[in-house]
Amino acid sequence: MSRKSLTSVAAAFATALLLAGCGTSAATDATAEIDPQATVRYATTYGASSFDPHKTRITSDSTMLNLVYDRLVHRDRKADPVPGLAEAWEFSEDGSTLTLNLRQDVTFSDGTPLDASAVVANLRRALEPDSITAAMLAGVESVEATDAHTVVLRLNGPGGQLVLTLSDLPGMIVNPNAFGDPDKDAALVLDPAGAGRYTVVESQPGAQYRFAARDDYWDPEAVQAEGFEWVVMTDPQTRVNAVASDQLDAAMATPMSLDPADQQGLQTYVQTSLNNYVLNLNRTRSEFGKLEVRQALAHAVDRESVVETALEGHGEPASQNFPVGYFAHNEALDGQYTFDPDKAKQLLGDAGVPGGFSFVAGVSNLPENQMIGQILQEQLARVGITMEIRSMTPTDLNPAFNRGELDAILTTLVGRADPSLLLTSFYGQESPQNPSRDAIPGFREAMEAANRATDPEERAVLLGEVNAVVMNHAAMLPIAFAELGAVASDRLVGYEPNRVVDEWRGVGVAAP
Amino acid sequence: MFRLIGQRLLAVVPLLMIATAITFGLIFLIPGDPAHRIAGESATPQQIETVREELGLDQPVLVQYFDFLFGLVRGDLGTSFTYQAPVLEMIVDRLPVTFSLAMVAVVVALLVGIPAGIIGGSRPGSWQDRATGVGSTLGVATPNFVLGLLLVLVFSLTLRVLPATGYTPLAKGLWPWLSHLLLPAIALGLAAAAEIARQLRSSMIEVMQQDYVRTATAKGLSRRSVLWKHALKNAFIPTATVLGMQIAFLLGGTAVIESVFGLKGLGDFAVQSVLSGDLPAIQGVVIFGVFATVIMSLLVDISYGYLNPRTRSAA
Repeated sequence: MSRKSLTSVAAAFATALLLAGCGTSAATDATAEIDPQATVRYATTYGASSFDPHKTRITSDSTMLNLVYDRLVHRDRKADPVPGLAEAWEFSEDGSTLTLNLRQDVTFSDGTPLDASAVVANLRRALEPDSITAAMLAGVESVEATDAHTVVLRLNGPGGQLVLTLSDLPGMIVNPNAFGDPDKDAALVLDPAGAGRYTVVESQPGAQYRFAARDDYWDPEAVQAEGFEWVVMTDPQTRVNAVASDQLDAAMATPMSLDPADQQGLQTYVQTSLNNYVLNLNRTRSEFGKLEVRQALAHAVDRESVVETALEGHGEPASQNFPVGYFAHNEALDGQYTFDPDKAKQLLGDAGVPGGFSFVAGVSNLPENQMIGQILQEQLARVGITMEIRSMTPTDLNPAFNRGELDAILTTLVGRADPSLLLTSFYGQESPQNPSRDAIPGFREAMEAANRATDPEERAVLLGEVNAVVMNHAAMLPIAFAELGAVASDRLVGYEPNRVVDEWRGVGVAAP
Repeated sequence: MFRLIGQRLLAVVPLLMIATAITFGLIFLIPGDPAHRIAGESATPQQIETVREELGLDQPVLVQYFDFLFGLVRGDLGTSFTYQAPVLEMIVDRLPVTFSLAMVAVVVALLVGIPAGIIGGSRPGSWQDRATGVGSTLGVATPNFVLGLLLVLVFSLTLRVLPATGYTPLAKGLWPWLSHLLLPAIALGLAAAAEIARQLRSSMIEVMQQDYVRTATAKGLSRRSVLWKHALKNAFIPTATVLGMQIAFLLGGTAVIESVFGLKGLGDFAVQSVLSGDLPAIQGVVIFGVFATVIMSLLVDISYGYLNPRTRSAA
C-alpha cells in the first residue's frame, strides 16, 4: 500500500472516529434513570502523586488526572483512540508531520478558551528534558499553531505511536496561566487547572479527593454526576465492605476482591487488562544470557495454574506482552511456550546446565505477587532451577532491578496507552528499565517499522511482529494478565472497565 | 504540681534530641536509593541526580541533619517525596481521625476495663471474677484486626446498623461521627480494656487487704464508700501506668485498624509512607509519635501527683 493511500485511510479513519465520537462518549444503562445531583463515591488503591501531568514522576497518576484534564485523544473501552480535544488528526503523506484539528467549543475551568496556542505551550512543556512525558514524545521535533484551532507536530522520527500517546499524560492540556514559573509549577502539583469535566474541590493527598462537575463542559453526556468522591483504600476486603455497606458506590477491583464481592451480592465489571505479571530477566546475570535457559524458564511455568491459584481465576495466561483481543496481540505466538517441564529440562541440558542453577528474584510484597512468586519457585524447582525470593516494596523493586542489583524481578507491567511505550521501555537497548542493555536482534528495526506505520491495521500487524521478536528472544517471561475494573452496588450506572485506565465518562448514580 | 510539670518538661528535651537523631538516621537504614525511588523507575541517571540535588540528598550527612533539625524547630517536617505536599499539613489533616479513634478507644477501654477490674478485684474467686478473667484473656489474645473484621461482618454487613468504613467529622453531627468510630474503637480498645481490667483487679485485691481498708470497713462505712472513696484511688495508681502504656500501644494499633476500616488517619499514613519509601513522611510520623508518647507519659506522671499526694511532695 502506498504512503499516499495510507494517509488517506488514516484521514478517513479519523473522520469516522470523529463522527462516532461526537457528543456521546460513554455507554449508559438504558434502563436506569440517573440522578444528576448525585455524587459517585469510589475507592481506589492510590492517590495522584501530582496534579501536574507533565512533571509528575508516576505514570499511573493518569487514573485520577483523567477526571480534571481532557487529552487531545481519548480512548474507548478497548483502548482504541477516539476524538478528545482533537476532533481529527492526520499524518502527512511522508509522515513528517501530524496535524491536530481542535474542537472549538472548549474552555478551561476558569473560562479561558482552549485554543491552538494553549496546546502548543503544553506540548512544548511536555517535551522539556525534565518532563516524564519527553521520552514518550520521542520523534516530535517541534510544535506550532497554524491557526487558532490547528496544531502541527513536526516529526524527526517515526510517529505512528503518537496518536495513542496523546491519549496519555503527554496529551493532557493544562491551562497555560497555571504554569511557566516555579511558583505556578509548584502550585500545579496540588491544584490542577485543566479543561476536564471535573474540578478539584478538596484534596487530601494520598487520602481522599472531592471533585465537582463543570456546568460548561463541552460534552454534557460525559458528566452524569454532580461530583466524585475518591477515597484511597489499599485493602481489597475493606473496599468490598465499603461498597457492601453502602458507604461507597464502587471500588477498584483487583483479582482478590472479585470473589468477596460476588459473595456479598455486588456487581462486578471487569475485563482482562493490559496489566501483565512478568518475570523480568537481567540477561547479563546468572545463566540468563543463554537463550535456551530463558526458553526453559518459559516452558517450566504452568500459567493456567497461576491464574487459577494466585488470581482466583480472574485473569488470562500470558503468552506475550498483550492479551487476546488487543490490537497488538499476535495470535501466532499463542502456544509458543507451552507448559512442558520435560522440554524445559532438555533445554537446560542444551544450555550446559543440566543440573539446573539458582538465581535471586525480587518480588513485590503485594499479596498476588507474593503468591505468584511462590508458585513460580515451586514450579521452577521441579526442573532444577532454584529461585530465591527477595521481597521488596513496589517502589524499591524496579529501581533496584534497573540498577542491576537483582538477577530477575517478578513485577507487574502496567498497561500503557500505546504498545510502543511498553515495548521501548523494557526492550530498548538504552532504556533505563532494561538493565541488560543488550540489543535484541531485530528489535530496533521492527519497532521503527511499527512506529512508521500510521494506518491502524498495518500498525497492528507490525506491532505483532515486534512482539514476536522479543518473545522469540524470550527476553522476559510473561505469566498472566489480570482482570481489572470495579466492584459496585447496583446503583452505579454507565460504567465500563477500560483495558488501560478507566475513563469515567458518563458514569452516574441511579435515581432512587 | 507546677514544679513537677516543669521538671518533667526539662527531662523531655534530651529525650527528643535522641529521638530526632534516630529518626534522621532512618534515611540510612531503609534500603535502596531514595532519589531513584522518587525519580521513578523510568528515570535516566541524569534525572536521578537532578532529584538527588533537589532533595538535598547530595549534601554531607551533618548538613542534612542540621537542616532537618532546624526544620523541626521551625515546625517544618519537610515535603512528602510521594505527594510533594508539606508533611506537617498531611499529618494535621489526618490527626483528627486518629485522635478521635484513640479517644473513643480509650473511653471504651475505661468503660469496659474499670468495671471489670473492680468486679474481679472486689469479688475474687467468684463467678463474676472468673467471667471477667476469661474476657480479659480473650481480649488480649484476639488480634484487633480479627475482632474488627468480625464486628464489620456482624454489625455492618449482616445487621446493617453501623457503617463498615469511613469517617465523618464531628462538625457534621455527633451520631454520624460516633457511628463511624464505634466499631474500630471497640476493636482497638478491647485489648487495652483487658489489660486495664487485669491490672486493676490485682491492685484492688492488694489494696482491699490493707489495714486502712479494714479499718474503714470496721468503722461502718458502706462497701460502696470503701471501694470508690478509699480503695479505688490507690488501686488506680499502677493502672494509670498501664493506661499510659496502652495508649501508646493504641496509637500503634491504629495502623492496622485504620486500614481495615478505611480510616484516613495517621496509622494509615504511616503504613502508606513506609510502603512507598516516603522518607520525610516516615520521619514526620515518627517524630509526631514520639511527641505524642512523651506528652502521654507526662500526663500519666501528672496524674500520679493527683492520685498520690506524696508524689507531689517528693517532686
